[in-house]
Amino acid sequence: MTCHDDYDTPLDQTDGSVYVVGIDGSAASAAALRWAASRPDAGEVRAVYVFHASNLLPAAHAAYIPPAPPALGWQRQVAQETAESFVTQALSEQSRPSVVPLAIEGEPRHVLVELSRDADVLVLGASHRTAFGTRVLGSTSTICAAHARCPVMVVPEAWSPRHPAAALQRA
Amino acid sequence: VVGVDGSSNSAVAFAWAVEEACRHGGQIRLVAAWHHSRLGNGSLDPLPGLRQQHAESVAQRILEQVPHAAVDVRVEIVEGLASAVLVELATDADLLVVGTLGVEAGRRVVLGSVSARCAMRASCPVVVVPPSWRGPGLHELTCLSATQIPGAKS
Repeated sequence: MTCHDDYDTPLDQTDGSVYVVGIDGSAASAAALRWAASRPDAGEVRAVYVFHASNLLPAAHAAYIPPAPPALGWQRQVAQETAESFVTQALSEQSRPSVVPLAIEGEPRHVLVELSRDADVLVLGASHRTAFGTRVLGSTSTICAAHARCPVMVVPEAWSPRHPAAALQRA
Repeated sequence: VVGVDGSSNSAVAFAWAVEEACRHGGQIRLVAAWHHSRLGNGSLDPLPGLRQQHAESVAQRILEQVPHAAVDVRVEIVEGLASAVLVELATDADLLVVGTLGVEAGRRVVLGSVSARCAMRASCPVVVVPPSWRGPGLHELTCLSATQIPGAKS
């Protein structure tokens, strides 16, 4: 990993803050996306869907496949389409222009921590329910909150904008 | 709502909250929680006054470290377990701000238990500010008259 000072940050290229949102299809990550999109200073919201190329292969063979195989073109395309349709479902039309759906291959925690170097805020959904129905903080959220280079925002599933301006954006 | 203890991480968290309040307006509630520790024989803590005093001085020190003249800051010293107190107070808040690690966390802990519990249970978004945060945009903010951010050191 390179030092933060050596890293070429594209922050200067955009007006406003860069928000990186980790999306995984859960309701909590949709809330995280809505939170980021409702921010008045959001210059760019990167909705990042991290996918595993090897996950698309039968689970029984997963252990025999060498780590991090190159993502096949169609897998990347499917993941990109998944990210785009998730953004379309989660957000109203008005709040979408600043949102960029991205699909990146890799391990979610590594990818998100890496992306946090260029972000002002990393936004994640809060809760995953266990088989017993109790709420736990997901391992990705925990690892990211501990290791990210920028502040990490953990948004609960039930979050909704309470300010009139933000509510308008959402409606 | 910003939760603080005596760690430098919580000063950074407060500095982040000050910048946030500068940008978007809003009021900061700086919360230092303290609680009775029971002795082995089950009798009550003989020094509650001292613990409360400690919490007050912690809040005071953080206020001195971070310039916050432009922002409305209310200090609250609350009795109770830190995570429970913060989650409770954050029910009316837009944001709950905490550092990654508190003073009591061991070296091998990656995320402090208070931060983790807050992120898990709070009804509002919780922001966990890393110790390395230096406030990239802070120097541009006109509402801050101070020349530097002493609290934002790692």
